[in-house]
Amino acid sequence: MAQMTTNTKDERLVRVGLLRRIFQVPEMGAVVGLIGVVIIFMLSPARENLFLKVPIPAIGRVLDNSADIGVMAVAISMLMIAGEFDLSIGFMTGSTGMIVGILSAVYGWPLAISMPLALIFALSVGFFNGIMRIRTGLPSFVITLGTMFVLRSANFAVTRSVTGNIRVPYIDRVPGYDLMNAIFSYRLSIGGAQFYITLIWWFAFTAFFTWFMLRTRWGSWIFASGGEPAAAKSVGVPVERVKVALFMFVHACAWISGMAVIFRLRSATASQGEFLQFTVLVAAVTGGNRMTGGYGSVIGASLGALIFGLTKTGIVAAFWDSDWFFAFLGVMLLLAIVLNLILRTQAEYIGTTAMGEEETDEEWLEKTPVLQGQDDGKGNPEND
Amino acid sequence: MTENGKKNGAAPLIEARNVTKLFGRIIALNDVSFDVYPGEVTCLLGDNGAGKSTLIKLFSGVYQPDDGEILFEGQPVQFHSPRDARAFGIATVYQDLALVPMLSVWRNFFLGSEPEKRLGPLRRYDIDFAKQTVLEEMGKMGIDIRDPGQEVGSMSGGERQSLAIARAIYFGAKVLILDEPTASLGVKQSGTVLRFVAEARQRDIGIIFITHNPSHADVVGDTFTILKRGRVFGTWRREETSLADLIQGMSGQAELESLKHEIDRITQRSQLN
Repeated sequence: MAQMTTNTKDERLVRVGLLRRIFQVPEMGAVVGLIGVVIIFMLSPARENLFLKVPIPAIGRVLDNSADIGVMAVAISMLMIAGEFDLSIGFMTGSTGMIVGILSAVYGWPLAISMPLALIFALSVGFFNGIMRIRTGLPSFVITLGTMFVLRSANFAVTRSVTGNIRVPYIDRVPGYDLMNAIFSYRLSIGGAQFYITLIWWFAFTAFFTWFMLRTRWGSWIFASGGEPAAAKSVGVPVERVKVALFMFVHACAWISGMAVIFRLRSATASQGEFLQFTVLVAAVTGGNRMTGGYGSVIGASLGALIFGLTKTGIVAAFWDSDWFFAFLGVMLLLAIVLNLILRTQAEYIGTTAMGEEETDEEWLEKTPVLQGQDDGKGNPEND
Repeated sequence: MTENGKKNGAAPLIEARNVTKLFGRIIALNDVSFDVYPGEVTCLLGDNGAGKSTLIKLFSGVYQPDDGEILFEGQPVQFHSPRDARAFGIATVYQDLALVPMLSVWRNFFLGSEPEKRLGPLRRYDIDFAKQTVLEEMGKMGIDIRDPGQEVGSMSGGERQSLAIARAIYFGAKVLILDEPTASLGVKQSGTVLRFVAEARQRDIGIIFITHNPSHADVVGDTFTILKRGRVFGTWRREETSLADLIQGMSGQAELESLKHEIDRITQRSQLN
């Protein structure tokens, strides 16, 4: 590897080994995790081996499970890169579903009115969260925790008072259902595997917002708003506008997610979205997005969503007790955080090499304490 | 400086005329006058609390004078905010540099003023232009940015300081205020910055260079003003002064002497023990 990098075209480039360049990619942790999860389920002694016996339908199931959280994982990773988080987006998928369900299925309003109203509601809550965050300076966790509880209660209370139940059925009897169903939860069949159209939404979101983050000025602003807000502000980045816009954006994505659920299930449920804010958080963090902002990737979040889909499908297929799903998720989150921390620490050792000098992977590994293990006791204080 | 021919007769780019600034009962600046000429480095020296920061904040629009006036190109001006001052081409590079360490060099350089290209209904960041410009602008000032894609966090302190200065110049600074750019740097990195300052002078920019360090001032300065306890202790042109004078002016010979005695005493005491 050392030889490969000595022959770079520009002699002024800081030459670093290939291994280290791979380590610097934020999605690295997610790739490792993905391989790990696939191996676990391949080795698991299940009668229906997920990937060997039934590959095609299994892929469909995995991708559907991933796509269910994919769009929101993309959105939340952007909010996280800007240094914020929103706990209320899970129940927002329920709220938007209930608004459409109650207005259209119970009171008979056309979808053309109820759906935009639900979107406006979602955007308003996002705007409220954002403005509260900016005006009070309180952590977004605290503010959105408040919003989350209010939404949760409202979903149950309003639904029960209108229907006497916590469900709104018969959404498929509303005029215009077929068209909306085609947009939000159409069933596609490609080569024996069946998918919901949500998958296309997810892929399109991942592709577009990867471009958006890396190739537009808004992308730079989002990274800067999370990385060093004061510096960003002083050079003219509208940090507050960026953050509020992102809060509104994640709620708009919760609306998309909420619509997909009610059209697919043909009913709305008040409990919809419980834990969703946490599963998308797991996906985003697994994908290398930093809780503290300024660093991360949309593709990483989508890979995280894929790991989530694999796990969810794999646990059922491997006949493991699905009660353990959340434990698996929790362990995965912690592993991902530690892995990403190690990878990032390693990558940051680039700063300790003098400019213009070459450092091979071998030298780098020698210098960095984390990969070596902590057992030599002496540490490497001269590198700190 | 003589090649600029602006030393004598030319109007100051920006000047403070008899300004006074009060903070409650504290007189931060008392009847201070200070001129900056284009193509010159005006060094502002003084100990902590001498009023250096207050004076530059009058120029950069953070504060407004309580008495006296600020003139820009001979005209009295009032800066109500840093934005006003920036509109006149007065750029301040503070010690925090306003850089985002986790972003690349080219993203930082254009942060907040990104060049864009149309792409159908969308606009995309003109990355090629940004990278090329950073290479050129830093190159013109004698700094080789090896890879514009490297994170600013991986640059040395001197390179970061230079990047912040280059950015201010590129975006049209006429007056460049450098707030202790060499304060936290080592000898070699200070050299990088000082060379950079000298390059900037060649572009007819008026530079205010704030420092504690008389030897750094001596290397690049054309004019030296020493502030003491909110007043101008003195202003000298380069040919009228020397490094020794500057050191003496900043600290006062008597103070240095007494400091020396004190240190000798401490040393002796520790030797006795």
